[in-house]
Amino acid sequence: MDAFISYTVADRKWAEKLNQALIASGISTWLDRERAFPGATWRPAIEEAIQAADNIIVLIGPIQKPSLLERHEWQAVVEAIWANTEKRLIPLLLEDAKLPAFVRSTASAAEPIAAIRARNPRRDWNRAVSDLIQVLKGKVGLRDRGELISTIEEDRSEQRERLSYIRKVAHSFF
Amino acid sequence: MKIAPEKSVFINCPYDAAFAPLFDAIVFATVCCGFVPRSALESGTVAEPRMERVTSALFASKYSIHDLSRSKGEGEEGWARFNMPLELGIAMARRYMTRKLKGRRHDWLLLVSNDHKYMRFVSDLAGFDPAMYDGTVETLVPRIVSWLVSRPDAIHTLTPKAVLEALPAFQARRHALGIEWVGEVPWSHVLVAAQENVPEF
Repeated sequence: MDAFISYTVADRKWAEKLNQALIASGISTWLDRERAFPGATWRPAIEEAIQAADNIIVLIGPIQKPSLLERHEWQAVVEAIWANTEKRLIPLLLEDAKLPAFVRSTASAAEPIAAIRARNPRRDWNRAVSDLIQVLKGKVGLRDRGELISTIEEDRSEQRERLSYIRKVAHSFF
Repeated sequence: MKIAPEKSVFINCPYDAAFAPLFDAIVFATVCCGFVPRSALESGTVAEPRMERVTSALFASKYSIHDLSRSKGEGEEGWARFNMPLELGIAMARRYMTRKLKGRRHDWLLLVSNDHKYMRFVSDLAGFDPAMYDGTVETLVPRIVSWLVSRPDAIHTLTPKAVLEALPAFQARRHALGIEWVGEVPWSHVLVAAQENVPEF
C-alpha cells in the first residue's frame, strides 16, 4: 500500500477529499471509514495498515483534540517510523496548524521537518494535493517541494521549561 | 505546590526489588518526555493511609501508567498481586468521572508482559488493548515514550534509543542514592536525579 492517511475527526472532510484525489491518481491508500464504531479489532487493523504502508500522511488541522483512538493511531505511527527509517512520514498541514509533538519527535530536533501546507485550503487545496502526489510518485523530493519547519528553538525551550518544572516539583517535596 | 494535572503521570507498578530496574526505567522515560512522575512513594512514610495517598496522587494526574505484568499467580499458593488492578480501577473511575471535562479526561497506558493472558484475566478491558513488553527495559521504554509523545500535552521527545542510552547514568545515580539513604530514597531525590540526567536536544 502506498499511503496510510492519519487524521482527526475535525478534519474528516479533508481526509476524504485527499483520499479520493490520491486514488484517482493511482495511489493506493488506507483511510478508515468506521471510526464511529471502534471495537476490540479496530486497533490491530490500524496498526497493520500503518505497518504495511510505505508512506504515512498525517493530516493536521489547526485544532488538535485527538480522541483516544486517534492518540492510539499517533502512537502506532511514531512507533512505526522509529522502527523503520525507510517508512516516510509526510505532514499535510491545514491553515496555520503546528506540527504536533509526535511528528516533531520522529526527526532529530536539529533537523527541519518538511511538510506540505494548504494555508488557505479553500484556495490552495488542489495545489497542496498536487504537490503531495508528485512527492508520493517520486517525481519531486518532499524537502524540495515542501515547507521546511525548524522547531529546534521551541523544542529546546519547551524541554528546559518542563525539566525546570520537574525540579520545582521535586523541591516542593523536600 | 499544586502540580499541574496535564503534566502529571501516575505510575502504578510493583515497588519491590525485582521490579526496581523497570520502575526506574518508567520514571526516567516519563521525565525524559517532560512529564512529572507521581506515585504513592512521593509522600514518603507519612501517616496517611496508603490508599489515600494513591487516590490523591492519581486523581491529581491526567495520565497514568499501569503495569499488570505481575498480576498473576505467584508462590506456592498462586496468589496474584491485586494492588495494580485495584489502582487501574481507580484510574478508570477517574476517567469516567471526568468525561465531561473537555481536554482533562483521564487517560492511561496499560502494560502487560507478552505472555500475559489478560483477556482471560479481565475481559472487560476488551477495546483498551494493553501495550505488551517482554519484561526488559529495552522493550518497556519504547512503549512508554511512544505513548507519552502521542498525548495532547506532549512536547518534542527524545527517541527511545536516546532514552535508553541515557538510562545507565540515571541508574548509577539511583544506586548511589540507595546506598546513601539505605534503600529509602526520598521521591524528591529520585526526581532530581532523573531530570539531571535527561540529555538536551
